[in-house]
Amino acid sequence: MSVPETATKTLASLHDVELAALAAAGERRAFGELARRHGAAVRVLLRRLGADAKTADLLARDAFVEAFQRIGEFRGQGTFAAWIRRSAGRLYARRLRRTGGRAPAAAASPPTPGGLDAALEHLPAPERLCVGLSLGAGLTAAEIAKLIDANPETVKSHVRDGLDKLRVGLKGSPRPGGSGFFG
Amino acid sequence: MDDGAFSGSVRRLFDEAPPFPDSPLFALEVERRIARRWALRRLLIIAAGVSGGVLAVAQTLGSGLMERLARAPRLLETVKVALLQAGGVSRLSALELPYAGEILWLVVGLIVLALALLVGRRIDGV
Repeated sequence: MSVPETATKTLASLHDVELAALAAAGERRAFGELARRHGAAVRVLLRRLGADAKTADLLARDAFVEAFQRIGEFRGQGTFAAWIRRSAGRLYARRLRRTGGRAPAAAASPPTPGGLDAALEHLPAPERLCVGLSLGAGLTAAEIAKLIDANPETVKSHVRDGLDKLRVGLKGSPRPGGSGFFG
Repeated sequence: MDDGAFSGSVRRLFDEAPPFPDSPLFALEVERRIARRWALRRLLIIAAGVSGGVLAVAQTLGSGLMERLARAPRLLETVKVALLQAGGVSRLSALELPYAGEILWLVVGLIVLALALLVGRRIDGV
């Protein structure tokens, strides 16, 4: 069944918090609007954590479906974008642990200036995962440690080492309005 | 750039997401999956309700309740008197009531089904 154009326009004009409230009342189309707005962010986050494109999209759909079940927990403290990214990050880490899967190995060649995505590909899997869950999904070291069954200090160390490598990898990347990343 | 500022910059980079041309399709698929889940949930609730009702009836009949009721003299007498007054029944036994078991099955089954549908609608509406 297609959504009437007027209904779509009305939903599109609502704030995320209002849409979440409607979704909590069972309005699935309101949640669909949230998925339309924030789907890209979740899909790209999962790719950056190490999932291939197909897996990232499947997991992103699962993350939104799970989020709908728990939409009542989102009470507008913080943004919906941050909330759904945290959920997606947790889901990815849980699935990775459950399936015993490994994130893709780091690329062998040195990083070339090409933005965050290219630089992340050159991080070892644990560093990439920890940096992504910490800075991308917004999880704390303690939360990440629990999800991946590691020590919080190990997680912090991975994040530090990952950031050091990103500092090199992102150096010289073109930034809008500047000559380089540090410009 | 110090560590705090750099990690803040990396966080902002993570916030940037390129547009996906199939975003509307992705959102539609999310809606469809949610709808399928709800439909399946409602079906399971109704099935559980009906199963519970069937079990309850089976237990009731298996426990000899009908026979115990039949032996209750006061109740039998009341029923006899009521039927005699209604129109000319000379001999009566609860065990001889026609279709007693079937009617019980039917009534309980309908009540359980109605309750299950009500619960299903309530959950949908929440």
